[in-house]
Amino acid sequence: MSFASESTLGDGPLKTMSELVTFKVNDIEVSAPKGMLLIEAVKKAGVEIPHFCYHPRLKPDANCRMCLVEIEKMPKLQTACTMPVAEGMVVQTTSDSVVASQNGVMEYLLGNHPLDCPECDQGGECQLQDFGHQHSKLGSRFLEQKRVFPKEYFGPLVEKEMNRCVSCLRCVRYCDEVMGVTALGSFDRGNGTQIGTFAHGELDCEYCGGCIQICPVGALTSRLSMYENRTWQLKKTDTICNYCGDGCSLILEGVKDDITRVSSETGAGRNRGDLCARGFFGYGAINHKDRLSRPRLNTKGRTLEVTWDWAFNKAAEDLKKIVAQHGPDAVGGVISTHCSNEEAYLFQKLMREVIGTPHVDSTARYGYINALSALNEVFGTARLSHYEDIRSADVLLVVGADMAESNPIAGIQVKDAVRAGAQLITLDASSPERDTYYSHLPSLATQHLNIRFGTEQSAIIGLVKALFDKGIASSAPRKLVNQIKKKVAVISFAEIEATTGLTENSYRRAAQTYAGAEHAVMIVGRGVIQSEGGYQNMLRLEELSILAGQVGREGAGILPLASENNAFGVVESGASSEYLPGLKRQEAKPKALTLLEMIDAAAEGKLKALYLVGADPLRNLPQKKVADALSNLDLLICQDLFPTETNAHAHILLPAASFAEKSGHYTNHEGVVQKGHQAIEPVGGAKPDWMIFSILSNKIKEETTLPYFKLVGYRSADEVWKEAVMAMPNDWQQNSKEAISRHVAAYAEHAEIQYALQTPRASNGVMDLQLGQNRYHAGTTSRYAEGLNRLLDCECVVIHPDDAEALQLEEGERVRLSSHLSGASVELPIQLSQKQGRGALFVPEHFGLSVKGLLPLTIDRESKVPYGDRGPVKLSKVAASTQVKG
Amino acid sequence: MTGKELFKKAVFYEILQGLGLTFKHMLFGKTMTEQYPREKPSLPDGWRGAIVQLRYDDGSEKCVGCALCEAACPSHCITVESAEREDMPQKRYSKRYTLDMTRCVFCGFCVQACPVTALASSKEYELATTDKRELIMEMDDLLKLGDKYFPIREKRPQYTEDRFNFFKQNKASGFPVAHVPVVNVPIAKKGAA
Repeated sequence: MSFASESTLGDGPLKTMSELVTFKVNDIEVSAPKGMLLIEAVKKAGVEIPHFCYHPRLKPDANCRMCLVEIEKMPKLQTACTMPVAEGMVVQTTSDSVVASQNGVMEYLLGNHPLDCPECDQGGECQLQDFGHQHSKLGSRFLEQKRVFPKEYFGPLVEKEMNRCVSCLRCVRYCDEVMGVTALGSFDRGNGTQIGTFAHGELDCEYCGGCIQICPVGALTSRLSMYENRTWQLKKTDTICNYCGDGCSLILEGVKDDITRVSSETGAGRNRGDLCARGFFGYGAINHKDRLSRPRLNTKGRTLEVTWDWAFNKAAEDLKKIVAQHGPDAVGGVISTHCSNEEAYLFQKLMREVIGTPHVDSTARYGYINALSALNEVFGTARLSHYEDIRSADVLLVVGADMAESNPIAGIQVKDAVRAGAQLITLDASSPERDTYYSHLPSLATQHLNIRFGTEQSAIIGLVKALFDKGIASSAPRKLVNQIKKKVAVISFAEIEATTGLTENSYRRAAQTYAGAEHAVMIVGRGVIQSEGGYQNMLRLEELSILAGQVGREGAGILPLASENNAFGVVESGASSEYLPGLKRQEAKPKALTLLEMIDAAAEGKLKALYLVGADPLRNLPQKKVADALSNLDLLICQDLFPTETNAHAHILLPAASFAEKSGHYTNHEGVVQKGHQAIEPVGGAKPDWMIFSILSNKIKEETTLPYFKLVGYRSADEVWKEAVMAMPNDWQQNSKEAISRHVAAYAEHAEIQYALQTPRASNGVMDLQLGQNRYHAGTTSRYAEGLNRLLDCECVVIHPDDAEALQLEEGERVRLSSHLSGASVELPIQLSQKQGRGALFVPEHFGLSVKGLLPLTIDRESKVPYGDRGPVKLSKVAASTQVKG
Repeated sequence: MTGKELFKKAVFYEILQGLGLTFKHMLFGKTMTEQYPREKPSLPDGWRGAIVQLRYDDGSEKCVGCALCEAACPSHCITVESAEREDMPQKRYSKRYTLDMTRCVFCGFCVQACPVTALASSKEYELATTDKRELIMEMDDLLKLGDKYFPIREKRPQYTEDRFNFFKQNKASGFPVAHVPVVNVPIAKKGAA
């Protein structure tokens, strides 16, 4: 029965099982892999067995008794959802006894169902409706009153109508088996079985929406799109989620130009049908009323809404004027990592070829470029591991990543691996405890390396040092090994312990587990790649994996997590100061400026025009400096979905289309390129970014008075994509073992390895503040999604309950954070969380700008990444008189 | 040909016969013509005139906005926009219900499809107008027509009654929330729906 308990979606033994068995269903002979569940195997014969509690994503439960079938030589009817197929099995799904039992089950289920299908949101896609029509007799013998449950408030986004429930427990099992959240449970017995949270409380969980999607009836429905549409009215479009780097496939559903629901197909896409709160409830931003709709010109203190033609002419004219006066080097451009590959390609073409400036950059400069360029430097590729590798790995090393918050779907792959028996090693400053109903990977870890805040760099040295005793993989280049050995020999474990707070033993155990694994995958998060020394630390981690032999072979590798959906793709398409399309290093003259250098050059007056596509430097960099630089510019063109702090300074503001309104290719952090399709027409007067670049290029190039639509160089995003692919080198998606080892050998020749311990910092009453992602939000666009705002709509400070107790603070109380560096201070409410490391604070980065002002900014020497997410702050209680009731 | 037959041919006997019937009705028969604008015909039950919306005995509209009429309509003349009643959580209603009478073929499929018998075929047939826009009827127009032709209203079913009472009871105190002391509740807007 071990195979039977394997979900068919998992990469369990089924995938490798090639042995076929032949069996008969309703006199049709079918062959299926041995051990496959009967309910799945009969589909090959075109037979569907009715079921409620079975779901391919879950383990079989056999509680609904709807899938009973007759199997020859078995004394009773058997549940098809738990029965593995065997050679020579003879199955009847339509015999009299089967039909009688199906009728009985349906009569029993419908005995209590309110049959309010016309009102129910599930009507039209309801399994009870479908199977009821096929497998029930008309009429019921029940004379008793139907059970009626009292109505309960079930949280801001999920509607619970228990009267409709058929008690299949799919939601409970999904919450438990897939999400690992266990927020749902069933209580009471028999007729009165109910689904709910502990002690009838309201739902307080990650809000992944999985229970809504998996419910076969309308017992759990989305409150966000409640009663808005019937299922048959909705037009469905496959696309790729725009929030984080996981690259999940979504189905956007809507009527006309209004997206009203999101769903996913079981087993489809990188996410295999699982979604997170952002994916499932975050669609509200698409049709938000604040979306920019017309191009705007800001001239002489006046704001004009103009036509596209006017805006294009003005932009082209001004750009040409600046190029003529100051040369093309006076123009710079930054593109957002939420744009598609086509758009990034076209943008860099516009800047490099049409205008002739080398100054192109993307918002991957805020951190992800560290991971990409470090991987490219060492391995010649950044495509080193996939979710399949994570699920089949036996050891996972997660460094500096809070995956449950930043990349929930990649987190699900880790949870799946842990459930399948993988050992999980986590390395970060968070506490290994978890909050009830929220998943937290360190709580699942076999080894949690609970380092002091911000000491990832030193902890990596500890791991490398510990590895030398374990024995180095034979595949590691000798030159590299010797060099590293020399460097780490001068650092003692005592020093490392003084900095990170972790003993030698824990490093040894972790290094031994990691290096001893058959397949180990290293997952690197924001704590490394977006924190001080990110580029060098990433290189150190890569060396660690080379020394352990856990890279460059099947099933092992490194996965850097991206917080934006197309950080990988935008850089790979060439929108980066150091890379041409296909991650080819470019030698530009004059040297191409990075984002931060462009701001500096603008402040100095060297850069005259800046083209910001979805970039918001005012939010991410020191505000005063950026504001001065922006006001110093002769021309600032901004292209965005929503009004932001930055584009308030724009001379020309162009409304862009969101991901739902254009098709394009997106590359997720695994390096998988996927196509998103256009679901609706651009909202308001917006245009897709690629079209804007295309028209603008033509306007700049050609002296013509023809209307702009005649000049569109590219007719569709596909046409751009074809050209972009041709511009990539032949081996752009290659990651063969040979190529990787060749690159590693080359790297070993010229590598200059630096190992430096951080100096331990005395605490003296200051706490460490980390800005980061919250599980309900991503970037700033999600703030416009109503569903997500119902979950979290304001900034708060997350603090460990022990720290709060020591400071006599209660949940929701307002505190003042102040910086002794800049003297600035912010007042925020606090939120308690067990998983927060002691002495450390966390603030979600999605809301206010002011917290950023408390933190110091350092710039990476190699990759020029600005690090401003961490720093010491002083926390003090706000006096009771000024307390504002939240 | 006999003489009798010849005579009948000569005097166009069949025509005379026919005319005879005509004159018989003209002179002695009862008048069949309906003087339409002055006189209204009495229509049989089951007449499929204009589609109308009905109400329950308490004056609330029956329609639950399920859009099954829209799905059943062969000429796509019905558009339903449904939503949740703001004052009554969990109550589905049609926020906007439009029936384009210019396109309606009076087939009555919508009436059959309606699960709550909110739709009925009325005996309204006088739909001629000088302004076609009047024929694109909204919920209010349809209810007005319904009131005119169906003065006897059905009683609201008990099940709905219970739910209404439940929400009315809890309206003052907000939506029912089972208050449980849960630690670590995120600071979020979890107010009444």
